[in-house]
Parts: sequence; structure tokens; C-alpha cells
Amino acid sequence: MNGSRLRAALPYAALLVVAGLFYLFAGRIEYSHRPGALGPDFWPKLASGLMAAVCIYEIVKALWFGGGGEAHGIADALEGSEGEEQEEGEAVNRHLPLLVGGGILTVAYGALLPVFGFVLGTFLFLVAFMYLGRYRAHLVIWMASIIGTLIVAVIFLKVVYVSLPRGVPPFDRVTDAFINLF
Amino acid sequence: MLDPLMQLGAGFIACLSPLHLAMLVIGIVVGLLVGVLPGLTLVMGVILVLPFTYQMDVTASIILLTGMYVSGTYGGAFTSILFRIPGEPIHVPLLWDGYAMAKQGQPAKALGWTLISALVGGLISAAIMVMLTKPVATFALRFSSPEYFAIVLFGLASVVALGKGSLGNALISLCLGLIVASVGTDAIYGSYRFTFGLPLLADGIEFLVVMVGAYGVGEVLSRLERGFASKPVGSVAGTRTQLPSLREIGAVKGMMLRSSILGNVIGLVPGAGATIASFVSYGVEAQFGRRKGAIGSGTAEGIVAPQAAATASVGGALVPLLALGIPGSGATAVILGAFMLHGVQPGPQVLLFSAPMVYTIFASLFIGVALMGLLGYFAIRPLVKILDFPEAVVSAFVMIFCFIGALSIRNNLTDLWLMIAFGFLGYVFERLKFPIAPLVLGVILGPLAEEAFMNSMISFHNDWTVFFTRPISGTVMALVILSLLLPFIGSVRTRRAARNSPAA
Amino acid sequence: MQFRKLVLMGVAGTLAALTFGPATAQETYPSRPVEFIVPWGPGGGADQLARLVGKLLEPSLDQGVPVVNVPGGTGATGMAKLLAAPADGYSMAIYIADSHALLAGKDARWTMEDITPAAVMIQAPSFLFVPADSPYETWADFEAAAKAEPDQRKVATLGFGSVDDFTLSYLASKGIKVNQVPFSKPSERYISILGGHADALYEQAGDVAQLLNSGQIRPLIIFGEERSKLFPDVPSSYELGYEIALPQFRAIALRSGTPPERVKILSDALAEVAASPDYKKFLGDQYASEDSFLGADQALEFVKQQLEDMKSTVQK
Repeated sequence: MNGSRLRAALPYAALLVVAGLFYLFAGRIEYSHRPGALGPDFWPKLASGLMAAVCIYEIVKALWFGGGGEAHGIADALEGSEGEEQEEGEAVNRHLPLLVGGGILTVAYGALLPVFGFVLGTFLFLVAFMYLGRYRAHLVIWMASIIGTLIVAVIFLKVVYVSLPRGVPPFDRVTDAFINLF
Repeated sequence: MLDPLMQLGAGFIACLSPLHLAMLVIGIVVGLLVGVLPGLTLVMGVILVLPFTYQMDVTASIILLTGMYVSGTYGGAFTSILFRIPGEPIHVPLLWDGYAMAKQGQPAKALGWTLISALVGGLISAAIMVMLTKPVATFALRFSSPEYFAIVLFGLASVVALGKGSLGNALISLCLGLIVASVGTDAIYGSYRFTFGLPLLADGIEFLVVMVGAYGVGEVLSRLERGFASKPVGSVAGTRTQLPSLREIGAVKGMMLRSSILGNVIGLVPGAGATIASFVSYGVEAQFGRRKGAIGSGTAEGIVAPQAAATASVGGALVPLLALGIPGSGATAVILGAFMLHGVQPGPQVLLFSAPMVYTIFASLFIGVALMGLLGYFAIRPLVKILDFPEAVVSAFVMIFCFIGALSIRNNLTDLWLMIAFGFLGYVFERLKFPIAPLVLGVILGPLAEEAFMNSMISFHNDWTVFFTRPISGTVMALVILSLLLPFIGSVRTRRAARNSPAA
Repeated sequence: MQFRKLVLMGVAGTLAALTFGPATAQETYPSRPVEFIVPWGPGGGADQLARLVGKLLEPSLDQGVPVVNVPGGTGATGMAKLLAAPADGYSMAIYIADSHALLAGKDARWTMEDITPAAVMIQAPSFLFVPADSPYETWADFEAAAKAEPDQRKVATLGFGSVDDFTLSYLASKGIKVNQVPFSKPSERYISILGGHADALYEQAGDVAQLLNSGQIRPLIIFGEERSKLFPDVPSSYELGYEIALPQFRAIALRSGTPPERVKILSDALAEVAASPDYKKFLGDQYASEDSFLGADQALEFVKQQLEDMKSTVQK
């Protein structure tokens, strides 16, 4: 019983520390003070103070009342219709490798976009992500990626203009060639 | 002086000319697409299309942009309902009832409801705009910082009604959003806050990055983790119903009207009018509505309230632009830019001397809303069909559009990184069942609330009573307090009832 | 989905056909679009200038000049974008007095050495405006009221530490103390005086042209050495004994290190733009000085001088 109470309080204790840190950092904001006016530190202090207050309330509630009838602890925060989803979610297997793969792929896109440029980077991401998503219709994957990349690139490089990365040599030639293609 | 109705009639005729009609159709289609594509917001879309209006005449270009504006407040509903990824901040409230209704096997019906609400909200607000341009514009002038603060606070207070989890978690998430929003260079002093010496953070964190990251990337990642085994919305083969019947609409006509008027008034608030309108309208319905108990479980009311208010806010935002020359929202700021580029300065003079143009724009709003209804109706079936595509393919494209959205905000790689970071945060929130909506709401409304608050404090020498003594802000503040107290009163009552029933 | 994409492409293609012709590759500079960075949001004065200049520049450069908005940090975010791009003349940015004022403070994220102005496009003096029905008929009325009740008259400005702030601080040092209320969003700033929430507004005439032309507001004082031809009855700050004139200027900056011949090509093209009737009309609409334009050779001197003026005002 005590263990479960502590476990319910723990996330809020962590969040309380976060709020406290933000409060401290807010105190260190540098600005030229103006007499009679609130500084730029006021609002962040208000927000982090409120957050700390709610955390303390939740900790007290968790420690005192433990697992009472009401929603307690982050893990039990859901009720009603979304509860069904939770059950459903437990029935479904979660695949950690897929999640990690998706995370790595996303970060890789961000890291390699300036190198490959938008056209090449997007194409590679689309292909890789579809394979990662355990889809194996090769023709569909490659065709969808090629057509998709072309359409997206036409729209955002030619029709409307978004300042997308061109890539570094030699990959910038792909982007430039594309721009001059039409 | 011609009767406004006569002028409006002339406006309709001018608006039905082939060129104007073509611009309107293009505007509506592009607006719908921009709304549908996650990551690209309406304001971004309007900015991106602006260069195309350089060569057009002023009326045609304003019609094009207004058409986009109207249909953009509707298009985002599709992704909210079908994929649980909001296309625009205004469609976050649709994640509850809209998505719930879709999960119950009626995605087309949920979309039908948004269509009807957008149509009704848009028409009501267009009518208010035409009939009451002058009075509404004068009314807008009575709003100052304390009123803005009160209205934004109303928007923030709607968290107590959002979703169904623990109120404490929602408040913590909201505070985190407020803190995230304060990162960067502050608007009043220009001082760096929470930047930790990183130039990456000195530019601040845009709400789009948080919203698209936490909902878009986060949702795709958590579905990927399940191996795309569960479709976002179950089988749709059996769904045939699309539009709600007249009887169903009749049952909610009162609240539809209320939401539309609410949206129209809140649309006057500069900054995030449409977003606040949508959240406040949903919150009002969840706390004061006739079927407040059922809200959140896929009710029509939970779809109608935010959508009608969001589309109705367009008229509200256009009034100060046309009557005073002051834009009320991000999209109207771009429309003002389009006016200026053509050497037209909107304001009282335009209303007097260029009445034919103004009434053509008014008329275009009516025709635009109607056309949006028509095109939206035909778009429902093909868009629902997207659910039948392999999820890996659709998700890959969703990710790409999220990335482009982040890149297009400030044409900067920094935003891509921030969005990826918030994507992971969104996933963690999702896993821990921690609510995301308050975080997004805090990030969107935080800067508005802060600036309005600080301005009021500076303007009135730190006298906080101004929020309560000025008539408009006092009224709104009373509503805020009421809506904050209601859940507590409610929970005390239920607790008492629970305590009494075993004893009895 | 394929079908939707085709529709999308069709729409896109139609739109494209309306404006852009086919882009042709060229050996000489510029051989691809020149990005025009606006460190401010869309719709404002800087944005309007960039979109007009971009539109007029395209034919003479024979390349697209897409405008990209990079708002944030009083222009600092956009400047960071400019400075992150290669110094090849394919990125240029609008550089305005408000961003320039950051250099007068500490912690500026760039220095004068980082940028090369290609041209100054607009110079416009600032004014103090009051609503048409204001009790203050003349500057003398306002001055008397501010002196009688210090810190009570509200003046809407851009923000603390801005050019507006410098001017008001200077006035405060002369005994005219007002309550400065910062509104970072122009729309709120203008509503504040139309709705009577503030007593006066510090602004350039061009940014509130629609309010001026419709007679909703009127100027009390112009901050400059001379009166404006457009408002001959409005006294200038110098004639009243206030030696302060920090005009708003909007220049176009490149990264320093850009090959000089490319700077010259751009500067010449901009001179051509500035001489066009469309641009002249724009200057008129903006209530800006007719001889606003300065080419690359004079622009650098001008910008440096402005910084000196700002620094000396802050120190006073």
C-alpha cells in the first residue's frame, strides 16, 4: 500500500523539481530594470509557481489519500471512453525496435537534410519509413516515394517558395537539377 | 446612400464574374488542402499564396485569400477526425468528440457535422459582418489589454473542460506550455529567457512546432510502435451516412447559433481569435451545455461547438480589417499586406469610397462559405478513403508534411529540431496518459496572455483591479471564475452523493 | 490519393502558370532565385517593402526573388538566418532601424562587421500621433499635460529598448515624463489610440497611413531637424529645442564577404527599382522622404552614423 502511494507521488515529485528549477532560472533572467514595472521574470515565475503548487497538491493527495476512488497518479489519469483504448492498447503488442527505429530515422532526417538537400533527403526518408513500417509492396513503396517526392518538391520549391535546404556538394546538384528541370 | 442590401446584391453579381468565381474556387480548394495537410497551417498557406496575387487586381486577390481563410478553418477537421492529428490549432477540440465519433464507425458523419457547423457558422458570421460592420468595428475598439487578457484567460480556463483526465495533470501540462512559450526573447523587454546560452532557443519556440510535433510526430511514432497493426479509425466500409438529418440539426440549432455568435465576437480579439473561439466554445458547451455530461464521448455538440465558432471567427476578424484597417489575426494581417501591395489602404474611407469592392468581398464570403460546403461535401468520401491506404505509406507522408510545416514557419532548420524534440515529448505524454491539449493551448495562448497582462499592468500602474472593474473584462472574468469553480462544485456534489448513498 | 495529388498538382500548376515563367539557368550572377529574408511577420511595413521590391526586382535580375518571413527577436532571428547562409549574394535581408537599435544595447547577436548594406530603401521620420478627438490640440498642450502629471499620459510604443524607447527616454530627461505602454503587435498599438486606451502613439506616418488619410489620427510633433512638407503645421523636435531625430530606415543587407561585383549588381538593380514610378508611389503612400534611396557606397556610412546617433542618445 505504502509503495503504491509513493509510486503515485513520484512523478509529481519529479515535476516539482522541474518547476522549481524553472523558478530559479526565471530569477536569473537579465534585463534592464524599470521602476514601477513588472519584469520579464514575472510571468515565468507565475507559471512555474502554479505548476509547483499543483504538484505539491498532487503529492499530498497521493500520500494522504493513496489510491482513493478518484483518478490518481499519471498512469490512471484516464477514464471513460478512453479507457477502452487503454485495454485495446494492452492487447496490441508494442514493438520497441520499431519505435527506436522511427526515432532514429526522424533524427537522421533532421541531421542529414542539410547534407542531402530536401529532394534527396525526403525521398530516402519516405522509402526507409515505409519499409520500417513493415510494408513490403516494393513497387508501391518506390513509386509512391518517387511520385510523392516530386509532387512535394514541385509544390514547395517551384510553386510556392519555402526556403528548404539545398544540400552540400555533390548532393546540391540534385536539388539544383530539380529546380532547373521544369 | 444605397441600401446595404442593394450594394450586397451588386456585390454578388460582381463576385459571380468568371474571374472572381475562379479565384474563389481556387482559394477554397487550396485552403482545404492547406487545412488537410498536417504541419501546414492556414496562416502559412496564405503567406505562401500571397506572391501569386501580385499580378491580379485587388478584388480578385482578396477574394482568393478570403476564400482560403474560410475553407482553411474547416479543412483541418479532416485530419483531427480521421487521424487524430489536428490540422490547425482550432481543431484540437475535435480530437475528443470528432475522433470518438469516427472511432464509433461514423467518420463520414463526424465530417458531415463539421461541414454543417462550418457552413452555418460562416453564414451567420458573414451576415453579422455585412449588417453590423460599423457597430462591430466600434465595439472592437472598446477592447484593450485587460479585455484581451480576460478573453485569453477564458481560453486557458477551458482546460478544465478538455478531455477527461485528472485536473491536476491538465494544469501541470498547461503550466509547462506557458513556460515553453516564454522561452526566447520576450516581447516587452527583449530579454533572453530560459535560453541557457543557446542561440537555438533565443528565437523562441513556435506553437506550431509544439502542436505538430506532439500530435503529428508523436501520434505516428506511437502507431509505428504498435506496428501499424491498429488502424486509426476502424473499418469504414459500412459507413454511408454523411450529412446529419434536418431533425438532428434542428435539435442543436440553438447551440449552433450561440457558438457562431461567440466565435464571431471572439474573432475580434487580435492574435489567436479562431483558436480561442474554438476552445472557449467547446468549454462552454462542456460545462454549461444541455448535454454537458455526454460531451467527449462523440456527441454532435462537441463537434458543432468548436467548428461553428472557428469558422464564425473569420467574419469577426475581417470586420476590423475592412472597417478600421487593423488586422485581427495572423491571416488578416497577410490580407492587409495584399491590400497594401495593390495600393489600397483598408479603413473607413474604403468603406465609403470603394463600396463596390468591399461589398464584392462581403458577397464572396457568402458564396465562399456555400462553395466550401459543396466542395467539402464531395471531398468527404475520397478523404475517408485515405483510411484504406496502407498506413505505413500514409504515415510516411504525414511525417514529411510535419517536417515541411516546421521548416516553413521561419524557414529555419532549428524549428525542425524543436519539432522532433516535441514529437518525442508528445509520445512520452501519450504513453503516460498525460494530456497534450493543455500543453498546446498554453504554448499558443501563453504569449498572448502574458503580453496582455503585462500591458495592463504597465498601463494601469500595477492596479490589478482593472480586470474586474472594466465592464467587458469584468464580465468575462466573472465567466472565467464561474467556469473554474463549476467542476469543484460538481465534484463536491458527486462526492457527497457517493458518501450518502452507501449510508442510505 | 493519387487522384488527389493530381488535382493538387493541377491547381498548383495553374497558379504557377499565372506568375512564373520557366526558370532558365544562367552562368552569371544571379543564376538561381535570390532569397529575400524579412526578419518580421507578414503584413507589416518591412514585409510590404520586401514584397514590393522583390516584385520589382525580379525582371531586372531575371530571377525569382522569393520573400521568406523569419520573425522573432526584434529581427535577430532573421539576421541569424542571413548570417548562416553562404556569403554568395543569394540571400539578402531587410534591415531596419529597430533591429539596428539592438546593436546599441549589449548582447547583440551580430555586429556591423557582419553585414554589408546593399542599399537604404526608405527613410521616414517618426511622429507622435493623437486621436482626432484628442483634447491635445498641439504639442504644447501635450507637453503641459505631461509635465503637470508625470507618468500619467500613456504613449503606445513598440517595446522597451527600442528606438521608440530611446526617444521617450530622451524626452523624459527633458522633464516630459510619460507612461510608455509597449505593444509588440501593430494592430493592438493602433487600436489602443483609436479606442482611447492610450493618449498618444509613437510611429512613422507610413505605417498608419490608412488612419491618417481617413482623419482618425493627427500628428503633434515630428522627430527631425525640419518640418515635413506633408505636415507643414506640425512642429519639428529640433525647432522646439529637443535635439533628437532617430528616423526609421529600412535597408537591404547582405552578409559581409559577398563578392563586391555581386553587391554592385544588386545595388544597381535596387537603384533601378527605386527610380520606378511604382516605387515612387509607394514612397508617397508611406509618407517617406523622396530621396530615401542610398546605394551601396553611401548606405554603409549612413547605417554607421545611425548607430552612433542611437548610442549617444542612450548615453544621455
